[in-house]
Parts: sequence; structure tokens; C-alpha cells
Amino acid sequence: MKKIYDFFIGVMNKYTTGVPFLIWGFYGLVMAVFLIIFRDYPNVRFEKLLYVLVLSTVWLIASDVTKRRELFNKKIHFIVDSLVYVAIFSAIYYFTGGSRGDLSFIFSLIAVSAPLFGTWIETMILIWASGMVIFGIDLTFAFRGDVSLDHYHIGSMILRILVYFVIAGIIKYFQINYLKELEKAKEFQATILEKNKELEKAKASVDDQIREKTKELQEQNNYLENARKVAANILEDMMESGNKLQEQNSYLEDARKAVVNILEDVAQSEHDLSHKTLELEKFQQAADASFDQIAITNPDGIILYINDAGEEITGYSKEESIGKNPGKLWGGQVARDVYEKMWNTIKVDKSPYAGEITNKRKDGEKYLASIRISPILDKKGDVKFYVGVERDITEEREAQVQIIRHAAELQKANVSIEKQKESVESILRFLKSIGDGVVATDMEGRVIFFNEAAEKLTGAANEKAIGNYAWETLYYFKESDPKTQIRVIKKFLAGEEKFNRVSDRLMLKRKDGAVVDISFSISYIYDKNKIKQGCILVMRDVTEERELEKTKDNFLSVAAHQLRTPLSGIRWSLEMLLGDDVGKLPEEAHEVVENINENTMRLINLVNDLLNVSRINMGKVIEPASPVGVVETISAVLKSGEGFVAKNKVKIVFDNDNNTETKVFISPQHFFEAIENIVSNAIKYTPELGTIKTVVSQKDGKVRIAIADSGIGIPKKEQEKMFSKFFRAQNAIQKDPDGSGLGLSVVKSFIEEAGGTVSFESEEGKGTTFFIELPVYSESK
Amino acid sequence: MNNPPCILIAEDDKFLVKVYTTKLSKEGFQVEVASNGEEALKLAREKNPDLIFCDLMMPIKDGFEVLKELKADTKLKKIKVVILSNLSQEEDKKRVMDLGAEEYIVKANVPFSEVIALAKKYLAK
Repeated sequence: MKKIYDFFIGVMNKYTTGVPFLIWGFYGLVMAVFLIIFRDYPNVRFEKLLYVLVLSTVWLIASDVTKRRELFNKKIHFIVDSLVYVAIFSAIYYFTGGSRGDLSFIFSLIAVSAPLFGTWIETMILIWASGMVIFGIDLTFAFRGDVSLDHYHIGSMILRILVYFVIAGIIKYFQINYLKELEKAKEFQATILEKNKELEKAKASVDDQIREKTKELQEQNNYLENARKVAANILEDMMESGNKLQEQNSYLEDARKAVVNILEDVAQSEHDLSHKTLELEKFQQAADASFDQIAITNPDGIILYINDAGEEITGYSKEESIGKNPGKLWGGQVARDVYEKMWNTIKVDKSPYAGEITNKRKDGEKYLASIRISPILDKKGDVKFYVGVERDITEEREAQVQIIRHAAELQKANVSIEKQKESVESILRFLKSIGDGVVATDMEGRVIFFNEAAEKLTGAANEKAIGNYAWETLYYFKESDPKTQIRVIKKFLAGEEKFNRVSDRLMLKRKDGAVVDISFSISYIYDKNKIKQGCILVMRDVTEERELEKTKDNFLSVAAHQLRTPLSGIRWSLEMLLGDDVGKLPEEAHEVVENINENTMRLINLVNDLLNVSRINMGKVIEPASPVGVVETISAVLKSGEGFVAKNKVKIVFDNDNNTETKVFISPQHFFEAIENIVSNAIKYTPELGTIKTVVSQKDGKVRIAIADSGIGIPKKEQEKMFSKFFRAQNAIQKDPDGSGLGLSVVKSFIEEAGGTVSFESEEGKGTTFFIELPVYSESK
Repeated sequence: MNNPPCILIAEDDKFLVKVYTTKLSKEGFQVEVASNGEEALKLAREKNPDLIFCDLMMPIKDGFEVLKELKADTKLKKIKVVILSNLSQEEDKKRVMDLGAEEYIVKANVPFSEVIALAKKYLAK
């Protein structure tokens, strides 16, 4: 079944367009509908409907939608289509016994399918033509008497034709849309074709470019090829040159070898020569080094060689002397017979001659020479050379004369020296009898004088001490550190220490090991031109004094202790009373007890002050000194006195002028107390609302602390006694009757002990400024 | 603590002793008194005080000796000792500190309130 169907479709496709079939089918259906609607009309027969249905089905089947891609307006196809349709339809009609009506039906169909075949006009013409044909057929049959052409008949025909027009219009409308779609498809296809063409063009142009590039590359290759050939040529040339060079090299090598041989020969001769030269040089050096004149002459006395000394002595240069006769130069100053004697000895006797002769230098100066000439003989015994050695002995001779003269003078001087010696000895005797030990040294520290007392003190003998360094005999040390020797004289001479405090004290270890308390002083010895010659140290045994001091000190301590014991009892008892520890103290009693308390405090302070002053007086070594911060201490003092300041309602100003790092070398305790004393005085003697100003400044290695108050001042006539012990100015006594008068003397001692000074400026009623100056302590020490 | 802290006073001045006992007892301390060095050592061994206020100038044995013996004794050396004296020599102070005392106070120079403060300070540790 399928094969027949496919064959049928194939035939249809090949010779027709598929589209009409579809349309025909559709028309058939339309006709069927038409027939059904008009079935009551006389010529409409049921068989026709059947025909139409069958035919429609056949055309539909035949139209196989997929074949519609064939282009529709191929005119040949549509003519063939039409003929085929007509043929097939007629055949079917004929064999199925159709009537006239059926023929007109055929042409109706044609009319209806007219829109398929072309433009509107073609379509209308075809419909009109079909209509006319139908009408013609009907007219024919009417003539044959088969059909009556009545109004109904014509009317129905016209109606049919009108219907055909309408249907055709509808169908045409759909067709045109369809055509439009097809048009678009065609355009699209056309665009694609164009694009294809463009691609082709592009491909073509790329191909061209490739071809061109290939051509270029080809050219470059050719060019490179040429270059390579050229390079190859050059290389060949280079190879050739290389070969030539090689030849030359070997030639040079041969030449070099020849030269080396020659040089070796030369070197050998040189070596021999230099050897001989060295020997000669050695001789010449020896000769030139000599202070004596050395001359070598030939047998006739012509100078062949003369040394440097010869030049100096005679005044004639080597050039001037060589080749000449010495007699003509510096000789010929003495009598003939001297020369005759000389020549006789050396020429005839052929033996050395020694003597003294006067010569004359080039500048005319005469000089005395000691002369010695030796002949040098050859193998035969003939004189080959003369060697002469001369020495200028003019000065020597002169000196000898002088010495003799001096000896006579010395003899005279000796007598006066003896006298002087006697006086020195008596001085020495005086010195010896000095009770203190006296040691004098030179600037090196070597002992030049060591008296008896020194011997006694040190236990060392004078002979042992003299000439040796002082510190070999004198072993000084600090009581606190017996192992470390303090070389006092060495330090003093080196300028390391001044030891200028009145009576420096140290310990001395004697030769026998015993230890002595020594007080000493040391100073420079100057000659009459004020130049330092050495130093002199005077020392004294102060052991006994020390003992005495210790006793005094002990006594003071004990005294202080005895005074303090009842005082502390009184003080604490008063504290208990005032603190209501032994029952409530009556109001009236309070004041009295307070009074007692104040006086007790005065007594306690007095005891403390007395003890301090006495200690200082005895020159006791008190607190050890150490580097102390100036600003630190002042700040501490001001802080500790804050209560006192507030009570007295004064203002404190402190200007440290950036000296925060400045230090001084002093006992911290003493420094604190000294500052405290001055500051507390300043506060005490300044009325309320006054100002105390403290300024720290530095100049020339000294730090200066100025404490200025706006207080009662010190009257001019009382100023000079200010630092005396127990002294108090009248106005001070009035302001504060309680002071002991010891404060400033203590301050003075403390500060002076550290190498500083205390001073003041004051105007009564205006105020006082105290100045404490101390040397600045620097770390480098 | 049930037991109040015990302070031993070594002092030969009877009047000062009165001040010590009155004031220190008031503060709540237990006070033992020795009037010479020998007694001080004996009491130290017996009562094992927490703190000793010791005078220097005492009969039989002085404060230096007492301090020395206290610090030489393994049992007693832990007791803190404050020297209260009226000597003011640097050497005495140094000697005392070298022997192991906690502090050196000159009695006449301090109010008694300071002594109380010291007691509290060393008993608090």
C-alpha cells in the first residue's frame, strides 16, 4: 500500500507542484458544502456530492503537505497541473457516467481553483472564462433541447459565478499571505546566498593574503639564504686568516726563544759585574763611613780616590782632588824637610809613615792633622799604591790646652766649694733637728732629702730612702682601707690631688708593721726662676692627739647621752599629759604644759647643735661624701618644710634653671641640713605673705644656690659676725628668741668641708640672700 | 589572732619604762620589761616576743651585746630588734645596723607617737 502511495506521490511531485492538490482538496470540501446547501436545486444530485467528496479526498491525499517547498510560480508546472487535473477528472467522470451537469461542474472547479494560478487579473479572467465555458456548454445543450435556459437557469449560473469570485477572493487572500511567507523564505535564502558569496569573497581575499604572505616569506627566506651564504663566505675568510696567524705565531715563538737565550747570556755577565760592583761598593761605604780622611794615590802621589771625610776635612771636593797632587791642594804648609822625611820613609824605605802635619783647607783655614801613610806593594815588591789616613786633630789639641787651663781654675774653685759645703752642712743639721718628718723629692718622686724625724716615724733608714721613689719608703693608707697604699707624693706631683686641706690625715705603716696616725702637709719646691723642682712633705705623728680627740668625743657623746636621757623622759611624759593618757588635763594646765614642751624641745635642739659643732671643731671625719643631686636635695628640703611654710604663710619659688642633673660631692646629710638651715631661717625671718626664692645656677664649673627672702634682713654692723658660733643679730632675737645661734656656723663648716663657700647679701628691712657655692661634681672623676 | 602581739622593752630608766608600758598597752600590745641586758636575753628566750625595743646603755650587758647574742641564736635571731638610744654617734649607728638591727632611733629626737608607729610597722609584717 505504502509503495503505491509513494509512487503516486512521486509522480505528482515530479510533474506538478503539490500545492494545488491541497487547494483542490480544500475546494472540493467547499463544493461539497456548497452542494449540500444547494441540494434542493434541481440539478444538484446526491451523486455529485459523492463525486466531489471522493475527488476531494483523492486530491488531499495527493497533496502531501511536505512537498510544498517547491516554488509555486513555475508557470510550466501550473499549466501541466491544470491539464493533468482536467485529464484525470474527465477520465474519472467519463468512466463513472457523468452528465452535462457534471461537465459544468468540472469547469466550476476550475473556476474555483483559479486563484491559485496567478495574479488577481489572471484569476478573474480564468473565472470569467470558466463561467463563459459553462455558459457556452449550457447554451449548447439548450440548443440541443437537453436543457431549457430559463431565468432560473441563468440566475443560478450568475450566482455560481459570483460565489466563485467570493471564494476565490478569500482563497487568494490566504494564498497571498502564504506567498508572503514564502517570499520571506526566499529572501532569507537569498540573504544566505549573499552571505555565502561574501564568505566566498572573504575566503578568496584571505587566500590572496595567504598567498601574498607566502610570497613575502619566500622572499625573506631567499634573503636569509643569501645572508647565510655571505656569512659562510666570511667565515671561510676568517678561517684562512686564522691559519695565517697560526703561522706567524710559531715564527714569533722561535724569535722569542732566540731572544731568551741572548738575555740569559747578558744576565750572566751582569751578575758577574754586579758582584764585582757590590764588593767595590762595600769598600766605598766603609771608607765613606769613616771619620778619618782616607786617600789612595798612585806611586807618584796622584790621588786616585778620596773618601767623604776627606772632602769635609780638606774642603776640596772629590772631583777637585782626584787626579791632583795633595801637596798642591791642602799640603805644602810646612817645611820641606818634613816632606822629604815622609817621602823617604814611604818611597825608599817602603814602610809606613806616621806624624803630625799642618794643612790648609780650601777656604784657607789651617788645621792640624795626624797623618799615617802606608805603601801597598805588588808581588814584585814595587809600590803600587799609597794609602793615606789623616785625622783633623785641631780641636782635640785645643781641648787639651783648655783642660789644663780649667784644672788650674778648678783648683781655685775647690777651695770655695769646701767653704760652701760647710754652710750647707750646717743647714742640713738644722733641718735634721726639725721635730717633724721632712721628705723632699724631685719631680719624679725620688727622695732627695729624708730627715731624722722621718726616719724615726717610718722606721726606714735615710740611706735606703734617698734616691728611691718616695712611696717605696712611705706607706700611707686610709684607716678604712689598710690594704690600699695611697702614694701621696706621686699623686701630688702628678697633679691628681692637691692635699691642700690644712693637715690632711692618713695612717702610716712603719717598716716594723706598726701603724701611726699622721697629719701631713705637702707643697712644691721652686727654684729661683719659679720653676718646680720637686716637692716637700712634712708629717707629724698625731696619734696622741687623736687619742685625746677620741676621749673628748667620747666625753661629748656621754655628755649628750646623759643630757638626752632625762630630756627624752620629759618629752614623752609631756606627750602623755597633752595626749590625756593619764587622765584629762584641765584647760588651764594645757597652756602651761605646752610651754614646758616648747622649752624641752629647745633644750633637745641645743644638745644636738652643741654636739654637732663640737664634733666639727675637732675636725672629726664625719659623714662620707658622695655625689648628691642639688635640685633633688633642695626639693626634699622644701617638701619637708611644707608645714612650716604653710604655718608662716609665705610663698616659695624654686628656679632650677635646667640644672636638674647637676651634682656636688658632699655628705648628703650635711648638704640637706645646710640647705634646711638656710631655708628655715629664710622662712622664719620673713613676715607673712613674703616670698622665698631659691635659684640654682651654674658657672665656671661651680654650682650656685641662691636663697633669697623678703624678710627682716641683717643690719650692716652685725653682718661680719654672722657665721660666728652662738651669734644672733638683735633683730633676729626679737623675731625669734629661741634660736641657738649655731645654725650658720654649722652650715659654713659643712659647706667648706666639701670645698665650697657660703656668703650672703642683705639689707635691713628688705631681705637677705644667701649664696652657697660648691664645685660641680662630674662623673669623669 | 588570740594573743596580742608581744613587745619586749629593754630599758634601765624606770621612768621611760612607765611611758612605754602605759602607751603601748593602750594600743593593745602585751609589754614585757627588762631593766638590763642579761634580763633582756632571759625574757627573750622565755616569752619569745614579736618585737624588741632595746636601749644601748644598760648595766650588766649593754644593747650591743644583747643584739649580738640575739642574732647569734638560731631561735632568737628571727625576732625584729629596734634600737632606741640617746647616743647619736655614726659609729654606734653603723655598728648596730651591722649587727642586724632593723632601725636606730634617738629617743630624745622623736615623739613617742613615732615609737608607736614603729611598733605597728614591725608587728604588721
